Amino acid sequence: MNQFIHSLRKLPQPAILIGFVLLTLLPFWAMLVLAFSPFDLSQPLSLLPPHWTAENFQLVHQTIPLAVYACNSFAIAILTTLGSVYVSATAGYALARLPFRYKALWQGLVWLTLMIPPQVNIVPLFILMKQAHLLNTHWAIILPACISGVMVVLYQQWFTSQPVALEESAQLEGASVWQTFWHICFPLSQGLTITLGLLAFINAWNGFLWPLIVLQEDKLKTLPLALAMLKESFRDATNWPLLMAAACLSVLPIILLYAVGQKLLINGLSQGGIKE
Amino acid sequence: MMNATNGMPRGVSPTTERFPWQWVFFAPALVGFLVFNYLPTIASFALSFFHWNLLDVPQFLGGQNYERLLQSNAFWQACVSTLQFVSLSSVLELGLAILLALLVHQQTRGKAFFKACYFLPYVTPMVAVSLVFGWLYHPDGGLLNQVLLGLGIIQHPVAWLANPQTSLLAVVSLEVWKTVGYNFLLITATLESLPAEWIEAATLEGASTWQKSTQILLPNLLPTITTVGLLTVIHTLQAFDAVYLLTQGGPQNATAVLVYWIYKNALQFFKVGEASAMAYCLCVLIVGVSLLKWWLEKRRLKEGRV
Repeated sequence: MNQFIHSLRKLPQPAILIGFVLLTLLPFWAMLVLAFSPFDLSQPLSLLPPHWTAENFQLVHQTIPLAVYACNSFAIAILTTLGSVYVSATAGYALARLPFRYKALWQGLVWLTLMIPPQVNIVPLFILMKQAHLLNTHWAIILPACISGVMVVLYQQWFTSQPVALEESAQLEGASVWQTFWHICFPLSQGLTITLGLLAFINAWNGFLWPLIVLQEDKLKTLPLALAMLKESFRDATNWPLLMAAACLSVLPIILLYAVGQKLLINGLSQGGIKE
Repeated sequence: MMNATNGMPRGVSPTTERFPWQWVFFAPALVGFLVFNYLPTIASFALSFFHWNLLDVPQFLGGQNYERLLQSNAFWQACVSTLQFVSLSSVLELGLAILLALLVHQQTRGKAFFKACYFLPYVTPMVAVSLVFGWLYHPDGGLLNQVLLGLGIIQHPVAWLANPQTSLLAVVSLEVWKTVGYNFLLITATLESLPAEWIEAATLEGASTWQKSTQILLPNLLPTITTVGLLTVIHTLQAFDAVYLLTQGGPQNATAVLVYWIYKNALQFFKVGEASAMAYCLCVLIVGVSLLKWWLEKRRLKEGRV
């Protein structure tokens, strides 16, 4: 170990950093290359294929209704994003600004949820969804995902840190609480809203365990479930190029979103210190 | 991480007292927390004292689920697997994140690029990535075997995921690859809040990167490292996707962590009571770590070191 640290000290730091960049990007490179490789059992797949082909992407569309799964994923992710931002921003604002009796109690109720691991709730939540006839609907995923203790706390902290002057003058001019919130405070929280919205979207898009439990009907499934199913469907020889083409397509929206929102996301995360 | 809210919350104006706006704003979240958080948590506790297969009438057992759990080998094996998984991934996730954060912080060029790069895996869907890792570790033409065979390090292909000695490491590698970037960002945030003059002065005096890292930056990072470390433990205790997708808990239950057992018992074997008891054991563990983190942060605030 000492020797290892010693040799690390001698390495120029950009070399270490770039080494880790390559390690980080290797799986993405592998995914991309395999997706464009021809399916040929006689020779092993390599990171530099003999020739590139796009036929795997056509084959994906012939094998599974990818568009349906993508639509499901989009619907769930967008509704979850809008819902969780609305619910958390209003609740955070209320706790930061509006008068409550027993405020400490409501506050504590929100904080306590941060400690309970979601796995504890899985079975009763499943039963609850069954009783409410929400199993095999997207609402079983969207509704619980709209409720996020972390987001409420972060909104509350943000609103508390803002000066009240603007709101006071708005109220003097006769604006209602809702108007003050909707036209003044919420727009001001744009930076936080974008960060949290992006995270909510990404989490919903990537979700696996809960959708796996509540969605049994094929045509309702999300992209991650479809990918897992596709992999299971190969018995003897896995068609890696086909799988990777599907994986590429499921990652693409997230990569695009990341390319656009990466700066906001990273800055927001490092400033707010968001957990989870 | 979570700083205490500064000062008292300020009420806005007397007009708010007439119409209960606060409840219009807070009610959706409150109902949500009660229905989707508190009700299930309490129900889960109650269920852990019953025998139930989701169909018949639940049968009250008292503490038998817990008793049986503590006596079963499978449970302790799951605990051991979880412990191995959590300790290995936490150490790696934290160690690599610290190393990368220290180096990137002292980098003059390319900071934004490194940040964007290292954080990318965190937002990528686990299912898609697990497919790639499945190929990397595949016994038949997987990349790792190709490389090691080519270099002559191994003579025969190894089934990394089907071998009890390597499968846990394989799952850990996926988990680490995916989460290092997040820890890296949290630690970088603290580094960037330290006065830049410290590093500038040390550079002028000819200190090396290593000296600056260990003597100036690292001591100031300790509170953050504790917090991020405990967060990582909480997070890895809950890991499920990587296990389910790569190994399904196998081979010989080597990678069957607690959450995987809960899932299996509840939704494949329909032993709802036992699964709930197991979930509560995990819950106690996680709440314990959370309380430790909270207590440490509170003590630090009192001492005036934020």
